[in-house]
Amino acid sequence: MGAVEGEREEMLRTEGVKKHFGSVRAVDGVSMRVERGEIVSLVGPNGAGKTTLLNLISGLIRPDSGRIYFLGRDVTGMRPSQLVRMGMARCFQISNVFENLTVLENLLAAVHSIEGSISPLRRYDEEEAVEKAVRVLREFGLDGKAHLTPKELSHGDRKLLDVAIAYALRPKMILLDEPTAAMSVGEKRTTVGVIKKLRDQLGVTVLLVEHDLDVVYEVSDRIIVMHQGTVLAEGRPEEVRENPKVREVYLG
Amino acid sequence: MDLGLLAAQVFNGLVYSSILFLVSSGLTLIYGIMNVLNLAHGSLYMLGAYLGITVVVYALGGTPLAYLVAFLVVPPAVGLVGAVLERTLIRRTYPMGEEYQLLLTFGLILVFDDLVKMIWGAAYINFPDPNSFLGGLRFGVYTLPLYHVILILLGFSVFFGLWAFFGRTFTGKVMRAAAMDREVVEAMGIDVNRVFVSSFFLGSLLSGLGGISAGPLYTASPGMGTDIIVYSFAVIVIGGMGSIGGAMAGSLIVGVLRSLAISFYPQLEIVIVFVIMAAVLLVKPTGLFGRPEFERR
Repeated sequence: MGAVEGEREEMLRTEGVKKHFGSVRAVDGVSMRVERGEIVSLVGPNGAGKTTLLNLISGLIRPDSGRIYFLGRDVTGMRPSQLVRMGMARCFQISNVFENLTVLENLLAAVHSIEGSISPLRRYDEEEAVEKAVRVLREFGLDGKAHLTPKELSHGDRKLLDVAIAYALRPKMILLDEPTAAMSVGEKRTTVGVIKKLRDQLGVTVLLVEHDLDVVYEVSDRIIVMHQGTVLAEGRPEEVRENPKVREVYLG
Repeated sequence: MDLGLLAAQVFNGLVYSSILFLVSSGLTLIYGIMNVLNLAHGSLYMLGAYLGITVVVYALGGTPLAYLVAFLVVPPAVGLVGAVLERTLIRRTYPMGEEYQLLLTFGLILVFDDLVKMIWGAAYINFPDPNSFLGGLRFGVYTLPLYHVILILLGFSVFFGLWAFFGRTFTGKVMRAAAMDREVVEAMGIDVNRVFVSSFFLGSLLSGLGGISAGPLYTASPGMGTDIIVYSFAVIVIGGMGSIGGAMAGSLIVGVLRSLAISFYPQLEIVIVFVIMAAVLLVKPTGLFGRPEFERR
């Protein structure tokens, strides 16, 4: 299983993070932690500020106040690209891939971009990159679809491709925004397997926003419940399930 | 028809093609990668010519060495000006829409024209003729001025250089990727802002190179930026917006046909360019080369 008791190591921490859009307090002073090796789910009713919080963490928007720490470093206000290089990859709600490249080429782009280059004019080893890309595709069961374009993939496979690309960036942590949205039951099953695999076999910490509570209860080590921009409750799945405040928000 | 005259006009046309290519490849590159149509791109060409004059004549006294120094120093300097413009002004228009981009870059044309008049005056300035020390290449009875020959070779070298840059290097590939989808590129850990500054630097550098190349042929004047930008637009529309190969094809067509028109039927000089453009648009609205280098989704 994920975080072993007694040897917790902080991956991500936010301190009093705030983001207001006009009079809307989208995120209103959120402090939370994610430990290395954990799967943490952000849940809450629509408009609770989950996606905004994810956007703040991944650097897409800047917080009005508060700090964000990743791997012990203050990363508040850093660009998404910098965070990716530090090891924080993110999958968007709308899957974000090069539409006119094949699945394999998308993976190659990710491999190349993260290997980066000290000299911008450097040539790179194409064979080695293809090998790496194919290895990642195999991990996610997409190796049979390497030569299709994203348009030819099923919705579930597109999401999978998204995660595969994120994984190819060699992250320490992956942020997933509603990974199972609009998926069939079978696709959800696959996705649950992939999320667990990220943690158990690939050693990646996962923070996800998810609406499907069955998925959340199944994969999460910890759940953070948000409501109106603040953290309402937090704990293990069984603790959160029994929490009366959470029931009130969801039912009432 | 006199074959010698025809050959001479084709030769002159190729020289002009070369300069057109330098300017329009920069224009089409910036458009292809960033979707920004920089109207002030011609002003950077003008700046290249005036900075060239300054280095060659005022600073170094018109020696052959002065030309060499100017060709090495001026294009990067103009590239830097382009990069600063992107960082300080043009980037502010990205969230606002294209009409603001056009207004801003049109405004920049006026600013640059006035700046040039303030600094260098409104009169035309002549470069010392580089062919006076370069001499010519003899071809039977004809002598080709060496500077002109060098310019033609320069145009083709830049073309192959760009081709290798976009096809073979990491930075070039990143630029093409950013042209396709900047968000994915950012999500893959590439700083898109840096890609944008780099493409503006490179595009402006090419325009500056065009300017200093053209200076000795056509003299430097405050209106020269607008003249070239009009032809450059025709070139990239004919070739296909965003395509470097298209810019080359368009430059060859426009440069050579314009030159032939000038000698055989001068009234057609400007018309012919736009007749070709209209014809291409009728047959293939995306231009001859569509968008091979910079496909967009």
